[in-house]
Amino acid sequence: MEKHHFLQIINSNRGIIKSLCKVYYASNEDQKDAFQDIILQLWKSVDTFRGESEISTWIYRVSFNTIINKIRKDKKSVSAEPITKSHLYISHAKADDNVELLSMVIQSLKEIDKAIVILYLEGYRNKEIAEILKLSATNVTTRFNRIKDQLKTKLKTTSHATR
Amino acid sequence: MQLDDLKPAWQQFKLLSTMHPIDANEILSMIEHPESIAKTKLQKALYTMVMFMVIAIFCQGG
Repeated sequence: MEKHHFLQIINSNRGIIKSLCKVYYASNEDQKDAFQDIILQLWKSVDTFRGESEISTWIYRVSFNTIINKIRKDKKSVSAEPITKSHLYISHAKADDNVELLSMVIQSLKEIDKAIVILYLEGYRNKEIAEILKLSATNVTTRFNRIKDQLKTKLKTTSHATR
Repeated sequence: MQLDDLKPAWQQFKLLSTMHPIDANEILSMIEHPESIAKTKLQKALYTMVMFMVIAIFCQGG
C-alpha cells in the first residue's frame, strides 16, 4: 500500500485510535507510546487487510490487540477501579455528563472487558466482537452478561448519587 | 440508565478525539524509522532506572 493512502486511512480513523489510547492509558506520554505502537502495527499488517471487513473493524482489531499485548508486556495498565473513584481522563475536553459517565464506566472495567464494551457501543454483535478480540463467542457472551450485571448496579448507584 | 444509552456518548468521545489533527510527517517518521521509537523507549527506560537508583541510594540513609 502506498504511504499516502495509509496516511489517509489513519487520518480518517484517528478518532478510533486516539480514543482507545485515552481509554487505556492515563498519561499523555503513555498515550503517545501506545499511538506509535498501533500505527506501526497497522503499517506492518496493512498488506494482510483483504477488504473482507470494514477498514474500521480492522483498525479496532489491530489496535485492541496491540494495546492488550502491550499492557500484558509492560504491566503498566491502569487497573480497574471502583466506578466512583475513576479518573476522568477526558475531563479537560469539555465533555458532557454522559461522556464523563461513559469514561467512568469504562475505567471501572478490566482490559478485555473494556474492549467488549467499546465494541458493543460501536454496534458490533457478540460474534463479531469475538472475532475481533480472538475470543470464543461463548466467552464474549459470558463476559458481556457479567459486565451488564455489574454496570446495572453501578449505573444505578451513580445516578442516585448524582441526584 | 442502560449501556445502550451510552452509545451516543462513545460517538461524542471519538469526535472529541479527532479534534487534534495528525501530523503526516510524524506518522511517516513512525513507519519509516521504527528503530527511532525503540531507541526513545530504551532511553526512557534507562532514565527511569537511573532515577530509581538515585532515589534508592538517597533513601538508604533514612
